[in-house]
Amino acid sequence: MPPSVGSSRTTTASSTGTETYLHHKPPHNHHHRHHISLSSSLPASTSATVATVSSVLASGKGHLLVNSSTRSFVQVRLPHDRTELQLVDVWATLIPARVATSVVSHLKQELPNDPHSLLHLRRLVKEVEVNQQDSVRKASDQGFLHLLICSIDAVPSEGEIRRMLLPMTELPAANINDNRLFVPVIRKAPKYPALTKQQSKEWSDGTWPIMWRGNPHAIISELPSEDEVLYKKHIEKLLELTEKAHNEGEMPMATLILDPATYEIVASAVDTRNSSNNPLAHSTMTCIAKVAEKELRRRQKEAAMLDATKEPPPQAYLCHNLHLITTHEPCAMCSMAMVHSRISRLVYIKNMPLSGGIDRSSGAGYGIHWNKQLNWRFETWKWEGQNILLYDIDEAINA
Amino acid sequence: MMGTVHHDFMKIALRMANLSFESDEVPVGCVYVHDGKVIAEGMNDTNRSLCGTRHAEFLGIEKILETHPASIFEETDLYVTVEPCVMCASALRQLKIRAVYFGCANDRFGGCGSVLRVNSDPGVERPFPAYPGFYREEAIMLLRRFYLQENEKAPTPKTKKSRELKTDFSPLDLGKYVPRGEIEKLYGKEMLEKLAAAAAEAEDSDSM
Repeated sequence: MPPSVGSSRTTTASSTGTETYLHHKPPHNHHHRHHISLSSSLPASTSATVATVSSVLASGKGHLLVNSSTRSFVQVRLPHDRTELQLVDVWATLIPARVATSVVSHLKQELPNDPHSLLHLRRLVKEVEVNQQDSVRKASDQGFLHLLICSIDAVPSEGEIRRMLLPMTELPAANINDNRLFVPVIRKAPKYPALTKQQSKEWSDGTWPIMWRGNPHAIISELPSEDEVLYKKHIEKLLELTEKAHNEGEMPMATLILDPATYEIVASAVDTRNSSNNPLAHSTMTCIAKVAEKELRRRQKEAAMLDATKEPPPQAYLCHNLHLITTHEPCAMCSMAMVHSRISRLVYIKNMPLSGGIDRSSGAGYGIHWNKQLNWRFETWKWEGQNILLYDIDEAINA
Repeated sequence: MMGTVHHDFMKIALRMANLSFESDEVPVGCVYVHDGKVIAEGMNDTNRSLCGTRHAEFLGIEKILETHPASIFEETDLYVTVEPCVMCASALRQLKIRAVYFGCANDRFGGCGSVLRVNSDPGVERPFPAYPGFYREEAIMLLRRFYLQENEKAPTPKTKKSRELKTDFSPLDLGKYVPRGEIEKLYGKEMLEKLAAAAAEAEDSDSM
């Protein structure tokens, strides 16, 4: 597809009937015709999280994205982050609460190493929590606990589990007449730890409960609304920049880097590959370089004013804690540049299905922002709100 | 003595890496070769510039673009002491570089086979071949000396172990990067003999 710029504007059909026109002026009053067709750029693998709503939005000042009641960004995650619940078969049984400690320590000696890590699951669960429907039983079962024994893969034989449990039935305190006690049953449990508290709740429902201890690498599942408002404002700025770039014969792509602590735009840049004759002059690369240049100038000025012989401060990772907002999914080069400079969050509008380095369905599927082999990760949020009209760009372009 | 033309060019890249070392930069150096001639050199510049993307490859690229159209890269080879990172590998592919020869692998960021295969994965631009192992040990020793020195400068002294200069090398898994049939032409006879000796040694230790 050749880059056809600014000639047409299309909207995709709304499947939910909530198509909204948010600009105050009709679109023909605007010189620019940003165009984006979400449906063509979003592969099926992400369709579950993709809103099909699309509507025309002009990028006129102050009129973009007034409707903030709906979520406009979705987080770009990867399949290996296990966003879907996967289950594993486990052995469980009912035991009297008062012998729980003895049973657990006895089984610890008996059980082989489990091929599945079950550390994210609760070992002991009250009856009512496992079987919510059966609330009638609650009162009579208060003295009983469900015990997670091991995965079926660790011990496939039920007889073997029975053999392990047998000595426990002979404990004096276990001498209760209930034929459900110490009988191994197969249950389904979440195979992996949940990433968020909400997900932990969802996954536990109807399966084995997850123990939510918080996640040190937790990624928030929803963008705080104040951030949404902030980014929407900056997206307007980006659209102004792309229009300027377009008018100057550049590729209509733009980036800005934001300090979320001060709300200051630290640097902004447009693509200059056309005018610079450098195919690598992408807006993200330039924007990161500008942050460094700015800091370098500041340090030189400071050094001139103060003690010139003083050692310069050690190099910091300059984009640490900064957010990068850009129009198009960055290519592998730009994505890795963000890793090198420790950008903490990426926000972008449009996927680049052939060249992108972030979304699992883009390009070679690198997911560079969340690659476990690399030494830095950053959260990424992609625009999923009403259609923003971007200039058409050839999908083979590296953004 | 290493004999191929690739070793000759890598030697110049090593000189750039040395210069990088002396400038308190991570010691990585490179040269771009067009028509048998060096058209640009590059060394790392991340510390001075405060910019984590100022890798040796980029400095060379910018120098070339000052006087040449970008199309020159289609007939240009890069010699770089350390495997290009994911960012540089993507940049080189976008420029349609002809081939890349490198010294040691980059296990943390390598984009030419070590972490990702940006050079050969399906992509928009044509893939480029990337050959490791040219003056590999020299490239590794420069990096080790650099990081040792960094550790010594650190305000909190590290363990004694981290202050010792290691001189042993784990074997390079050449097969991970280069088809066997290309080895002699690329690296010379010595490499084939070296690989055969290493294989024999490995067999001996297996049978023990």
